[in-house]
Amino acid sequence: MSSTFNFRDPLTINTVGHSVGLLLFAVVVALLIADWRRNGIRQTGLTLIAASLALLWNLGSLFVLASFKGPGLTLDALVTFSFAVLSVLPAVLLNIVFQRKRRAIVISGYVLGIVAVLLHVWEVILAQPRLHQWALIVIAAGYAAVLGVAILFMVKSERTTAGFRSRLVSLVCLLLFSLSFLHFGIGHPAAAWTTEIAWHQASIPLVLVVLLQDYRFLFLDVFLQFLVNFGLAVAFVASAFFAMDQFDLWTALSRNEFWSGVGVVSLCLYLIVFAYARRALQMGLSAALFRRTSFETCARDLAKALDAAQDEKAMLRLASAELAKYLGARQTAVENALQPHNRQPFLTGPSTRGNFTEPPAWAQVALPVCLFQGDCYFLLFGSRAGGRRYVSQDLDVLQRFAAIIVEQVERFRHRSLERLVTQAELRALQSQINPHFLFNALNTLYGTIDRTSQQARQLVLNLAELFRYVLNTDRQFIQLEEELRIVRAYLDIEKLRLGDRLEVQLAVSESSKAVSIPVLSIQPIVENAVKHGISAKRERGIVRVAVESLPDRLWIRVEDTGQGFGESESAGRGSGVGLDNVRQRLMLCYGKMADLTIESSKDGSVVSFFVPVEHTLQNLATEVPEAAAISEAQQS
Amino acid sequence: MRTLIVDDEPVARQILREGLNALGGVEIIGEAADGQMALTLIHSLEPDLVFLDLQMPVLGGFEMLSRLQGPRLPVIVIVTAYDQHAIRAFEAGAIDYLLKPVSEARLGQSLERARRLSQSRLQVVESVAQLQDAAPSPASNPGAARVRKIVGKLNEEYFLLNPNEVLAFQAEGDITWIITMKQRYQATLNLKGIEERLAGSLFRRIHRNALVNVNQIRKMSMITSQRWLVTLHNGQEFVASKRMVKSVRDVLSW
Repeated sequence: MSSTFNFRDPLTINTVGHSVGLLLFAVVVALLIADWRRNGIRQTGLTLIAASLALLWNLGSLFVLASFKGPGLTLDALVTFSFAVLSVLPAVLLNIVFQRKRRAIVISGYVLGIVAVLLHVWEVILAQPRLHQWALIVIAAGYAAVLGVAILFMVKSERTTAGFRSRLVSLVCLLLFSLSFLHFGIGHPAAAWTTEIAWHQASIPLVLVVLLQDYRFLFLDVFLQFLVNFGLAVAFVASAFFAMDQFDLWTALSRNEFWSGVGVVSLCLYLIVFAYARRALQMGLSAALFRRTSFETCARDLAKALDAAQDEKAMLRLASAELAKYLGARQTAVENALQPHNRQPFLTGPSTRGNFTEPPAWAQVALPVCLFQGDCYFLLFGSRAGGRRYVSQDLDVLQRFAAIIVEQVERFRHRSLERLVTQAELRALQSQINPHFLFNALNTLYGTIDRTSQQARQLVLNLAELFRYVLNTDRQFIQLEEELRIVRAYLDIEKLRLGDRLEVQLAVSESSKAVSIPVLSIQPIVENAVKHGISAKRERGIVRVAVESLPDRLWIRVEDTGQGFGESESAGRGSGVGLDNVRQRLMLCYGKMADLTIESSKDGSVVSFFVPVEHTLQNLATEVPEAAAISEAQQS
Repeated sequence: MRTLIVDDEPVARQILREGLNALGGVEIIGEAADGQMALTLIHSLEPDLVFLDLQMPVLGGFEMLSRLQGPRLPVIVIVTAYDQHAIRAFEAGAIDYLLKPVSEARLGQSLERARRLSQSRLQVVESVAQLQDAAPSPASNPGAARVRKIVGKLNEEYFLLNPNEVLAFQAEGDITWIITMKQRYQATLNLKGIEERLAGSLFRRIHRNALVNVNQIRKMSMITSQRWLVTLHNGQEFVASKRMVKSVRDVLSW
């Protein structure tokens, strides 16, 4: 094994190098696509093309390396493809650096690229290997010339403009990258492996620098983390190989079974050490590079600050200021938003313009805060102090903050609503008739009616009794007898009104009178029977209230000989709100046992329900002293 | 029965007047439109029966009741339109009350009950004390404990005594004395009953046969290591055990 394995072989080095390149650019392409999907095209297009080209170049090179020794047409085609891709790459990168400025330089870059591609194609068609060499020289020299001119121009005229330095770095990197093309043409002599790495693989980081130098790469953090992980893995593997090679551990390990076992265990330990090192490095990176303060601390401060705010606008302003402090953003603002397309925070740019009425130029990140009522705001944040960029982790954290803000604002709204409801209830209460006034008025009425008009006086007494019973709602249960007293008072009033048209029959078993039933459970049904059944008809009607004692329950029935429920409802006489209320309360008290049923035909209706006696006995235990006291007071 | 009607509304008074006249056996000796006037009339006319409205200007029914004193207390029948709090209190104590509008049938029942009650002076005074207990605490300090009156008998008259004016209760054989600055009344309850009635107030048992108002103690002096002498403001002295004195000192935080 050790005899055939030599990682200093140029081919091995190149294979490793291109594999690394393939991996890196694959990750970059994947992250760019994620970025694109999240934020729209923006300036992703060119960057994505360049990264894809770099990916294809590494892929092609790997294929070439895989079939290096076997000549043939396929190999030629692959080589041509790989180099064609490589030739266009600098032109695209040049375009990325200059974007829409310095058209001449960008176009000449593309021309050079196309010439080189043509040369490569001719090389294959004419079977002229010399053209390959020429193509590379053309690219290297051509790009060098173009870049030299560009650098000169920039140094002369753009020294003071923003982004000059980064652009210069990009151009120098690009220059170095194109110079490395010269190396590709020489083939792969058995040069020192360090030179091979320096010349051949340096192109990968150079391309990366140019690619990501100016691009507001949202997933930079993810990519850097990947790079760090990857670098660490490489370092671990390389040092392992180095140690194996240096101390000839291969033979030591294969000496006997014991040492092989030790080798396996050592490998496991080595991996564990790697895992720890990786975690430490990641945390260090996160803290150092992105300067994160604890989310929890900030979240707590934010919630506290928002709790103290007096109105919604102030809450949002406070939140944006607090978050700007957290992010280190130089500027911040709150904007009204139309319904945003997505509710995740995003980097602002030309493609996200549709979300705004008028986006400020300084804004770099927009955080949508969408409340449950459907209204949305954007918290906008400007550039960050220290030239830091907004990366995906920042946006993830912002989204969590948005949830906190939404919760706080919602809570504030809920509190306000409750306050309003309370006020409304108070107003409603104030607008109601004061019971004192009502009963004093009835008393005055009673007093002014001549003592000889017994019927009229009795009407007032019955009315007062009925009102008092209805108003006295702090009692949930009452003895059946009490409820029937009210039913009688009510029916007396109606009899006075309807005269002979209403005939009342009461059939109540003696043993049921002390059973406690939900207050106002019979009277509304009787009222319903009179209203819907009797008063809607011309001829005489009967309302019959029957209470029967069954072994474990009371069976309470209210019958009338009216025209039935359906017809009176269709005649627009209401649908018995009182009946609904009774049904709901019976349900709450006894569940399904109450079984309130309505049988209705054109000859009359029967409403019936049950009151379980066992259940009411429990209530009696608490109700009896009070009820007894009333009856004593009433009778004495 | 010599009857007084107290209500601020003329029609309300008229209803009762007509009803009582129709029922018969009642002599209406006066009518009052507020509590202040009612107090004066009760003092001067000494009625047997008073129909008292609760909601009145100047001095309401409960305020009037709390100022009601004197040897000859009338039977009180409360009349109210809608005072849920009061009604709950009356229900608990089985006190007679009428709800407006008052039917003649109901008025008749009430009159009959008043007649029976007026047979016993003691029951009349007790019922007034009960009514005073049922009164809601003043709105100004709703949390404050109400002062419960004590019934005291002097000669053949019963008096409602404010506990603040009582210095001590003292048991002598079967008789319990109520000691005030000026008078000594005979209590209608035994010492234990009084102590229960006044639970939570400033009365403390300092001896098997003495219940003392701690606010009326002038001085406490040690006789022996186990015995103390407690002197009240009227100069009366009680011997108290050390343990009893401690409870007094706890109240006064000496």
